[in-house]
Amino acid sequence: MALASISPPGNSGTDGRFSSAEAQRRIVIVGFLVVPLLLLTVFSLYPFFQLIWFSMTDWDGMSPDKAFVGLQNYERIFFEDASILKPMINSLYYFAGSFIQLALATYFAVILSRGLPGSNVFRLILFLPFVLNSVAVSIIFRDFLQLDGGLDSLLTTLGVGHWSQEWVQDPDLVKWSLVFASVWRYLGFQLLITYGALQSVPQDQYEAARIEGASEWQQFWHITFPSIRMILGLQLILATVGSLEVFDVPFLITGGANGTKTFIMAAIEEAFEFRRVGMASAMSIILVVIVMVAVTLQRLAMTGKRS
Amino acid sequence: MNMPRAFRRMTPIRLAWTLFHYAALLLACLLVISPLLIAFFSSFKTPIEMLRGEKMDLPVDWGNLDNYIAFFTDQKIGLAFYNTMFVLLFALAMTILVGTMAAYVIDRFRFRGRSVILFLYVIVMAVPMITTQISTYEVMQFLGLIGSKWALILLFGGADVVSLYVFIQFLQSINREIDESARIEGASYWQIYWKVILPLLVPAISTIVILRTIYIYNDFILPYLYTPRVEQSTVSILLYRASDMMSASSEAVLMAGIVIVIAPSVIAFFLLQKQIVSGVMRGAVKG
Repeated sequence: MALASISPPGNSGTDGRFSSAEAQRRIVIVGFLVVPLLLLTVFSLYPFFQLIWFSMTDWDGMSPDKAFVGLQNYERIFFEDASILKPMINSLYYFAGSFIQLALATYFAVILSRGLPGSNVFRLILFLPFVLNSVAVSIIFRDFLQLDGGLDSLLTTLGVGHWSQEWVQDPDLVKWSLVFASVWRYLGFQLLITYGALQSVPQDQYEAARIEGASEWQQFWHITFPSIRMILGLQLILATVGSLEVFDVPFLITGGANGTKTFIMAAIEEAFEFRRVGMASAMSIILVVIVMVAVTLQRLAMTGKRS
Repeated sequence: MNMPRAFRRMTPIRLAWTLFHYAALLLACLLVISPLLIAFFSSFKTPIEMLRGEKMDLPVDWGNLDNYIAFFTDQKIGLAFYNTMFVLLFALAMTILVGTMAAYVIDRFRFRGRSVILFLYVIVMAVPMITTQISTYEVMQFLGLIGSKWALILLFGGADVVSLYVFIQFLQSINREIDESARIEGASYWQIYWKVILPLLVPAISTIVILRTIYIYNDFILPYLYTPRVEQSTVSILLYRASDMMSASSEAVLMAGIVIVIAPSVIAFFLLQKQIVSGVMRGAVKG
């Protein structure tokens, strides 16, 4: 592997002391890299290339032989069985949700960074869900969203009980309910990152803008936004990737019922329940390709805008 | 504090906006807190209260620990916590050792193959971990590690590229002259790593410890795939199995279990809030 290509640099000395230093240098390079590269190869790289190979077989995950079927799995996904790609649509909801989340997180980060009294407490509360166990919060949400559950009770307490809905039973609403659960979980995390970026915006610029009578919106648009644009772009990439690999929230809250299955859930199910590893691998590869294309496009757009 | 003066200086429009911002913040906090509070309240309620009362009602008797006792007796909770700690400690140790060693060599040495190695890490970073689990599972099966905590330790501890990047980035900010002067004083590379670099990396290490602890303690998909039985698995699977087995009538018992699982996180969060907040801010951006 890559290790074999490690060799001494051109300037190895001739006297004894120098070459023993050179030997030591080589021992350290090889010794410190063997384990990390072994782990990287065995648990990340090899599985990735194996996945490409699996995707061109009809393997069932158990039998010793895997028959090569070429691009048959991909043909089935794209041209023959439209139901396989259908869960991909659900990713669009999470994608839309991630825009809402980014907008909310930026809004809250901006107003919190002005040092309103109590802003520390607000920040902590909004961030809290991020540190909690995934299964625990999903079960909490399953109960929160059920008929006559916590959300309906909360609305009644606030005097708007008539707003109650069939949050998870209604097939149109359930997708947004799950998006809400996901925003609930990650909003504070995103807020914190944006908040961190805002700390580096020089305060005297706001002071100067205020003296000139700039409105809050003008201040945001001309001072704040340009200085956090990179971070927002980065978060958009993370959000895109994130919305394609949503698993926990639908899996644990609805179990994928009522049309909430995501593409990655379908792929995992295909592999581990129906034992159609070939097909599942093809689905995974499609996902990887989409992620890579999305990341590349957004990177290009970001660097384009910067120059 | 100059806030009161700030308020006084405000024009009516600006004051209205400030009130609007506060209302938005309060609403958001209410939505964040209420599901958690309801779960907490429910864990102290009797079956009758659960059936008849509103979810938002406070429990009648805060001393009612029946649900907690039921969860403790029915579930292998001690074992699940032991497993979680076992996985967490070994995975963290592995992440730190593997990550700092690789980062030290990659940042401080120039050797043939270095750019190839960096390129491999970039590839791995671009491929979402969850997508390759189908074939990683076959590797684990080959190694005979399905159902073993070591499968989790290897994946949590060994396959994390973000940590490596955080370490490399931090190393770049440490002046190389420190290495060189230690070298002149006769220290070996190993001593430089162990006595100079590692202590200087402590802030980066604590960032990674915080981020990885949050991730490992809360993750579901890896334990679900590799250690599906509670006996070998983490608290995530304990709750998952419990929620599968329990009927709707024992919902309050399940809520007690949830409180038990998230209590350590909540307590640690409030005790270490400063470190966690700055750790996330430092680490996440580099991902």
